[in-house]
Amino acid sequence: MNRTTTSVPPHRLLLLVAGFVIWSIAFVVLYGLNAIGCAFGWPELLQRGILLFLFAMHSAALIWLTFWCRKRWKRMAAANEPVPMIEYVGYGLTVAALASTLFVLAPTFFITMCV
Amino acid sequence: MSLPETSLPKSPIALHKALDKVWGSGKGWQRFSAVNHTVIGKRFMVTALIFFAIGGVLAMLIRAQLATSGTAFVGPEIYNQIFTMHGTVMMFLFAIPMLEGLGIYLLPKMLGARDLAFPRITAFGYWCYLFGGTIIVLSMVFGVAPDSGWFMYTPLSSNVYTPGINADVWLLGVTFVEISAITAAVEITVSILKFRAPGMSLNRMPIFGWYMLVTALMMIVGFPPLILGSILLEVERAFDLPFFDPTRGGDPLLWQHLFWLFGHPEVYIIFLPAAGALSTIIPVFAQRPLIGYRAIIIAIVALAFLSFGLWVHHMFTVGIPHLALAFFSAASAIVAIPTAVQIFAWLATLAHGKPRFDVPMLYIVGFFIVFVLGGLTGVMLAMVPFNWQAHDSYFVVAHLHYVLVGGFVFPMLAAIYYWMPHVTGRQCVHRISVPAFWLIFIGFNLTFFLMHLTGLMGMPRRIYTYPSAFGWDWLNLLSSVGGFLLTMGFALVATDMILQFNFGRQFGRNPWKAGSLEWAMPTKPTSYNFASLPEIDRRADNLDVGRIAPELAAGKGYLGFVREGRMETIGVDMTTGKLEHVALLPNSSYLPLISAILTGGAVLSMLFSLYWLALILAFCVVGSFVVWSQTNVIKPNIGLLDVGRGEKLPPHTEVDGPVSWWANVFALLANGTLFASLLFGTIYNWLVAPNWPPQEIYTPGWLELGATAGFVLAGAIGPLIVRVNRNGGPFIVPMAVLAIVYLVTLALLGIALAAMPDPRGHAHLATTLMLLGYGALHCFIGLVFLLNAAIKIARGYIVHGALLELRIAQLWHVYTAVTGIVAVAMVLLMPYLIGLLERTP
Repeated sequence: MNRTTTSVPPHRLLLLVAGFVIWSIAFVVLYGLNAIGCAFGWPELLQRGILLFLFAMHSAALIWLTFWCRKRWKRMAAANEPVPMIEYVGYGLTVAALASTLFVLAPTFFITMCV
Repeated sequence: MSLPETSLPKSPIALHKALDKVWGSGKGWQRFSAVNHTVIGKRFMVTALIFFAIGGVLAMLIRAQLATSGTAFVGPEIYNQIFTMHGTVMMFLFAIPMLEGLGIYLLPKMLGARDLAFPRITAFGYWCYLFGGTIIVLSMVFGVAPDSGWFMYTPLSSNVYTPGINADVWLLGVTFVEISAITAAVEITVSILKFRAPGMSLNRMPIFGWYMLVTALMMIVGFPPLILGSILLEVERAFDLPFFDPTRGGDPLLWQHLFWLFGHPEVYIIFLPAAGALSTIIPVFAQRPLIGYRAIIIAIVALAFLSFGLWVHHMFTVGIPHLALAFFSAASAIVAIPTAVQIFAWLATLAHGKPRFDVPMLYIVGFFIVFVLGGLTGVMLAMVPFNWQAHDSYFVVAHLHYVLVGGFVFPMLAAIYYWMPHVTGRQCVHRISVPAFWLIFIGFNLTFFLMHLTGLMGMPRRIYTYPSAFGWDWLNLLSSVGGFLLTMGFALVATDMILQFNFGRQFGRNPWKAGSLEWAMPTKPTSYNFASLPEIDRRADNLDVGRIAPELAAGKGYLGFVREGRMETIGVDMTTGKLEHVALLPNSSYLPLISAILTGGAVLSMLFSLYWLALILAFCVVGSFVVWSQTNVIKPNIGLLDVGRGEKLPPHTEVDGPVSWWANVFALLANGTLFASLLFGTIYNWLVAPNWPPQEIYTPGWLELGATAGFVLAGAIGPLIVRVNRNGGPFIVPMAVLAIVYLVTLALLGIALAAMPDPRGHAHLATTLMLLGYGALHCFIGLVFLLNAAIKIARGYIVHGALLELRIAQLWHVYTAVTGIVAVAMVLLMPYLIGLLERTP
């Protein structure tokens, strides 16, 4: 039997999308609030502060998810259980989502807010 | 793979005849009733290639016109139709249907199933595509083809600047085709998740299955924004509701957002199946397994998400806040990474293997060169300062053709040469295919590489002629020469296909020595794919096809028999691939064709402003779907069925998560995306559009609150029906109550809509009408669900414990409740939001 053939409940598939769902929410929230802030003429400092806070919150959620995935993986390895592919791919996707969030939303630190 | 030694009731020939009698599509007029995925997949691909030829002829007309400066070949009106139709045909009528056709034809064969999940839906999708595409193409013959560009930007496409039916042809025809695409996407998704060979867990699935799964999910989420945009623009054109009219609180940029929310993921939707074909073909010719199977899965899922964060890079010049520009620029650049992961995986596979050369490999090498160049110019265009300079120039035309032709046409040509022997049972003779490749490769680069230069020299897109003073003449002339070389190459490929079909070299099984299941069947394929279904115990693109195929043909796998003339295949657990149920599929039927004709009639009626007829036909379409549901019904409480090899499984109607339940989940996901797009449009116009606040504000009252209560009740009663049925109670009672709730809610919404101020006055009123109308439409469809279930109860098909129909309807009722509450909440919130605008400095 192939080592990776263990029972994996269907809801575990959500692990494949969890990281990038957080990325998507962060992207939409920051883009939307930037548009609202510019339309309503929020002061730049206030707007940047709000966006940086939300950026930090989403990044923190992704960091937590990354560690959670890693812990599960390590636990399986310690117990000498085969690591299902979904776990491996899910971990990789969470790391990719974290890197994407940090890279794509990093301009919040230094770019002019509005036109 | 392991197959137990079991004695079989019939000889392989007798088994073949028995299966073919059930799965075959018939001849003569019966061809119109075909639902078999092999037949429909081939129809999709052949039709797509015919549209590709039409698009190619249009491209030649463009190049003839632009070959020299000041050409009088065609005037601006015709030229506008030609370039609009070229883009529309290639994107909507060739690329998407071609990838769908490939998936429909290949997936059950690669995954070890006998058909897709909903054969009648497959056929319906094809007829919708054929009729929608025909309407669009025929409009050229009558001189009323769309002429506002393949992206139909408003206000150019609005009634003021395009008063004829040209834009309506695009909006209605493309929506028709898009609906077909979404049905195919839902079907492909659930088929991949549930209709695989026993033992084929997700980690054993062939890589092509992963690519198609991600692509189909992207289509489910990506297409609804365009469908909504098309509905809104058509409603604006037909009834003067101002969603995009800036003089009445609409915004033309809303159309651009909705279009590119679809349009950019669309590029990856086209690329991913082609990349799936490459990931399948390259290991075969490298003679070693694909390197980086898991890394590729990570890459394509990441690519799918990132591709939804790029749409604004088509709109960098429209005036977006700086920070937002930076977000979209960064996302546009980072998407190159998952693409590069795949490129390096393919190169590594070739480098570590023992590559052998054949015609598909020629196109793969062509792909590498062309696509990588297109990718690099894509990264250039992702940078805002360069984008501002190159925007709307021929540089962008060059880039998009390098990406789309490199990323789709070259891989598809490799795929055609690779899988044509599977379709025809014959292999090609190289004499024509090699020069055909070189004509295509040289012709393509001559045509499009030079467009980078004309673009950088300032030549704008979509101009029908140009003066000779700018030095563009010789580059354009060479581009046109290249275009004709390219066409000659495609003509040679077409000739090669015809020759191969008639005179190709016959071969034994598996000519490429591939390791995937589609080669473990007779070629040409039989109507039922496999005489019996395999059990998979390893990655399903590294199988010993030579050993498996004769065992399956001898009926030594699962379901190696025919039961009561039924079409049967096996459904599995979606992650582990463990045996779960027997799926009983519907036989050939004319119903898909009838429903598609009725749908086409409704579309044509709208095109000619016969709205009363369109409404009648729309009701007929709904009625025809009820008839679908009432035919081929499975009797309740069948119990366990023998599937061979000592295993017994329940039918799909008696398990918790069959394909029909999952299909409704994914259909509602598409619907939810459309609804979210409507909410986005409402908020966007409020926030960005000029001429707000409106003079007349819609103030909701008790009618809307009453409708909200109706939606809350619907959300509670839907699940109650299932619970009462499960407990053996009188479930018809909550069904009747729910019908009354829907009727009352419909009436309340109807009164509210009738009493509202003229929605043509302002976008605020128009979007309010759409939000309340969305809720009302869902109440109506909820009633249809109840009616359908009531008929089945009367016919004895829904009894206590037979939950599937009711559980599917429950999904709809809960969805209606949630979206209805949100829609009314949005309407209730709008006066407050408008008040905020009044306080804005």
